[in-house]
Amino acid sequence: MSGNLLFDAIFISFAGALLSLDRTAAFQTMAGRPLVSAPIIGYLAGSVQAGLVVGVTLELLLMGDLPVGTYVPSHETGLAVLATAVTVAAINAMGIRPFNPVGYVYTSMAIVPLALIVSLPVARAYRFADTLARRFNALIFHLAERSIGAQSGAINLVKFNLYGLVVFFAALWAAFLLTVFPLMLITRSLFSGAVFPRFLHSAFAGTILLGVASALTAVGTSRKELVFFAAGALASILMTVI
Amino acid sequence: MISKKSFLKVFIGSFFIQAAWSFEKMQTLGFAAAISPAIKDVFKDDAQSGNLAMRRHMSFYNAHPYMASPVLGAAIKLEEAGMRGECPVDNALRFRSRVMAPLSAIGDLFFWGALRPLASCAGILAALIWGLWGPVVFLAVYNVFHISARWFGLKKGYALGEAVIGFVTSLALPRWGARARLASAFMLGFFLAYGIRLSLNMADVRALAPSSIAFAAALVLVAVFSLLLKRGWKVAGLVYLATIPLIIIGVLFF
Repeated sequence: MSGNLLFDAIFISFAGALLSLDRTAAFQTMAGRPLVSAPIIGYLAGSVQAGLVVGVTLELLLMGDLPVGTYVPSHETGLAVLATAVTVAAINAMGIRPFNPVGYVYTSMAIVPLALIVSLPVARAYRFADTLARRFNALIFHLAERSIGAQSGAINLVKFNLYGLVVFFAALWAAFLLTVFPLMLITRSLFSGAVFPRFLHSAFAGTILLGVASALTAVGTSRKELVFFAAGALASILMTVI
Repeated sequence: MISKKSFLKVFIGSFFIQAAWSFEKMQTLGFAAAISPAIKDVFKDDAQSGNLAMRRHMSFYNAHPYMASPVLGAAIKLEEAGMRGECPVDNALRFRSRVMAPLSAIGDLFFWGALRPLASCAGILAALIWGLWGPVVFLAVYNVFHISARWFGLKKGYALGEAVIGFVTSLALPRWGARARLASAFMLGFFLAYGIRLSLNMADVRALAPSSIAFAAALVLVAVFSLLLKRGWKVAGLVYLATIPLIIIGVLFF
């Protein structure tokens, strides 16, 4: 974290666009999932712990949003990037430091519900950018088809395929640049010197319970409720005994 | 036989199968680009036939991205056989078209529907217990299967040709998927109970609410949210429903 909000936002947007490539365009190692991307963005923004709290929350909430067929799911990487940037901006504006007794994790838990409320509608822009890139890629296909000529066909196809990667990256980077900086700026001015919002912990608990319900729905098997309840009861008993 | 270098290029190319994904042609360009080093190798003495083969592979293709690997391997094998005149030259294309839908279904069900939730649940639980090791656990659990599927899928596809479908079926992925989903449900239950215990310790209210009572209360809320999700409510809408009233109550009374 440089301390310059604009520079930070550009850097976060660049990293966010790179992580977004993993969703569809390249690798699919799940590095773009909130559980991974949010701590990375948190680290770049100045608080890896805050990123982890955002990541766990979003991972639970979005576990069931699957990219099947032509359906483009909600942009979980974009949401993780924006929610983390907003959370860390709020924590920094409040003057919470890593060794503050209140602590980064405890504060982030209170900020996350607010960050989600703000980020959820804005994250639609990332899905829109993703859809635009997918539309533009049809043009690349037609150009590639025309290019298959004598001798050089094989080499050209790899190149054209990688142009698609550039299109995905450019679309997402532009969308991040247009959203991350303004939201970080607004958050900083709103939270500057704000009192620690302790009551927001109940909202965080509500979000986590919704996340567990969403994840359980995503698991989608017949005996899941029974296994879920048995595991929870077993853990409760074990923790009481131990 | 294609060279080891070409095989490796196809393997690397399989990671970019969706690089130029479009609504119109989906993974077609990615598949053609991934197979192109092998085609170049197979038809190195006959560039014209190589170009014709490339044109054939520019016809529509879309499946689960990891399932492209066995298809790529088998398609290379069939192109080699076609080049030697052992089967019709468009056999690879026919094979591709035939297996797209069933492999998509198997891949979506196992990787998206079972393995990813399993890795997510393991990662979330690990994050609660060990903090930053959570994302590492998530990536490790997921990618052991993911990378293996890509590498062995390609190898088996190239070794077995069309018979690779029998090999994929013999793996019984739907059965393993069902087990993975049960394991995910188990980890979620453990996560909830352990999370409640941690929050009660953090807020120092254990005397007021023992963890078993808090767990029961949490179960009721999870059941209500699950019911609403099953009835078609969107997660985003429920986030507002679950948080905004609590924030308003907090602002008014605390």
